Amino acid sequence: RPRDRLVVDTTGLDKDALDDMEAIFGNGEDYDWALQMEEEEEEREREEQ
Amino acid sequence: DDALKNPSKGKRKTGLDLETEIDEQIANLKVAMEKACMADNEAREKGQAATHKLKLLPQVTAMLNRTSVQEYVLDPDTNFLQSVKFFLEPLNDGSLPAYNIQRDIFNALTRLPITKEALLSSGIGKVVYFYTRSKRPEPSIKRIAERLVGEWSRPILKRTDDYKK
Repeated sequence: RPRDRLVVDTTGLDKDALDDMEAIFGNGEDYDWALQMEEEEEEREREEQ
Repeated sequence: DDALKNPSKGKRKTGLDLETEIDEQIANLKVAMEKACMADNEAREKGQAATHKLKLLPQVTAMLNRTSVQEYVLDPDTNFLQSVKFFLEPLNDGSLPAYNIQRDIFNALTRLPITKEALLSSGIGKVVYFYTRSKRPEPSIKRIAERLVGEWSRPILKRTDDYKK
């Protein structure tokens, strides 16, 4: 599935700013396990219907 | 005579005393918060309700909302915000903490002047960003999370802007 974008536009940022953004908000993988569980649960619910 | 023998008695606390007291209060609360997070995870694993964080929540929000201790709460070395991050994290079974926890903490966060240093040491931005991505939070919570991500990233984005000019 496509990687979710930050809610802010990061295009055109210099490298230092991008590094800061990643250090503060993560690389988008920090809680991927929880998002994955969420998706699996939704799928189970869909199948049960 | 007694007053001479006990010069500190009855006097106002010195600045240093107060500082140590606040540091101790925050340190104690941090320990209690981490214990509550572990206890809640264990409860969920046993199929029980997670109530430990909820019981501690009034103390946590009181600390976050006390303007007189704000500089200690936001100090990157004290790192109280890291414990706050633990409170907001999804539990091991992927569920979110109770709605009251989300609501009270997110509301408190909007009122705090959080610095880049505090964000870097606490990692709280990562969990707030997670709330913008997850479908589980209520829309009102997601809105606050999006607002916080916007506010916290503004100084960083602005710096790039200035640099270009």
